[in-house]
Amino acid sequence: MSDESAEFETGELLSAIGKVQMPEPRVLEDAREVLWSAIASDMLGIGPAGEQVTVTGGSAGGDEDHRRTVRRRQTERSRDDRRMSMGGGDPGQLGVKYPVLAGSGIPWPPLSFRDTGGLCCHAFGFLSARCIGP
Amino acid sequence: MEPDGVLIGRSVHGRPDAFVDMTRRHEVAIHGYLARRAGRQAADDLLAEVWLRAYAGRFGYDTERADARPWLYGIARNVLREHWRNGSSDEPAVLQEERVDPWDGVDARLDSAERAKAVISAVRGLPAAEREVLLLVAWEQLTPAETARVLGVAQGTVRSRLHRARVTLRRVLSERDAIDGAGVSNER
Repeated sequence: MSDESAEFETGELLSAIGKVQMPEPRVLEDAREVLWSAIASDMLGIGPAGEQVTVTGGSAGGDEDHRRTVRRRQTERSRDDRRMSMGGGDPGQLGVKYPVLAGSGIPWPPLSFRDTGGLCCHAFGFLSARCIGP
Repeated sequence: MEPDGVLIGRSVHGRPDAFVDMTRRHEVAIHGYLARRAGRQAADDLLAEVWLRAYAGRFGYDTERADARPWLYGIARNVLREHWRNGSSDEPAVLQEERVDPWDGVDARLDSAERAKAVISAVRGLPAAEREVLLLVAWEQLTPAETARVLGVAQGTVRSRLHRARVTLRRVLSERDAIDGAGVSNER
């Protein structure tokens, strides 16, 4: 076997060995939502617990909380999967408690930041709670 | 399509949605990178961490660089190293698994399964630095220049590691062919 063909074959074999399944869309969406959550706290200049933090371009004091968010969502996802597979319960049903931004009643971390519209709504809600409200 | 550098630059100047657009382009590739090395479950967990770190580090990105992939792979690599520090093996997951038939065609499978085992064994036996270079090129389709950026080393270093890894693999396969050939002769 020539060097070139051996090289080609090795490359082909390596490619085949390295094949992995496509990620589930839900996994990609979850990761994006965590990113949106970080972006939101960066833009609002707040940490997830409601405290004021310095805006430093993404590392705005909440990274560990976002990581906790990732872990919590993964736990919730597997719990929801189990619940749905058992034939019960929509995770969005009434009675399910979500964490809220301290003193504002705004869900935190944001549950959906897929577009800037959502971002604006949360920002407006936050500002209303902090500046306009009693 | 706008270059990644433009999108990252825009995200720095008040348009964070542009950063999310950039990540969308590479999310499957980065997840694949993580999954090949740490397994699918871990990849699901680590992907968001890569985005968070990339977003936090976007101010340091050279927006003249059109393609953000090497930068993202570098971040993903750091995330993986921390993951491995927690006790997991740093050997690529797909080399640890018993992958019986990664091939679609039956003919190819019969012929290649044995050779694939030899390749896997040879890759596992490579020094970690050479293995990493080889797999970034073979699996992530990066050029040696891009690989150098991922690893933060000189291009020459990448080229020499890649060369050594390929020579080792070729030698292993040749030796295997020789053994197989001898086996066939003895049977006759």
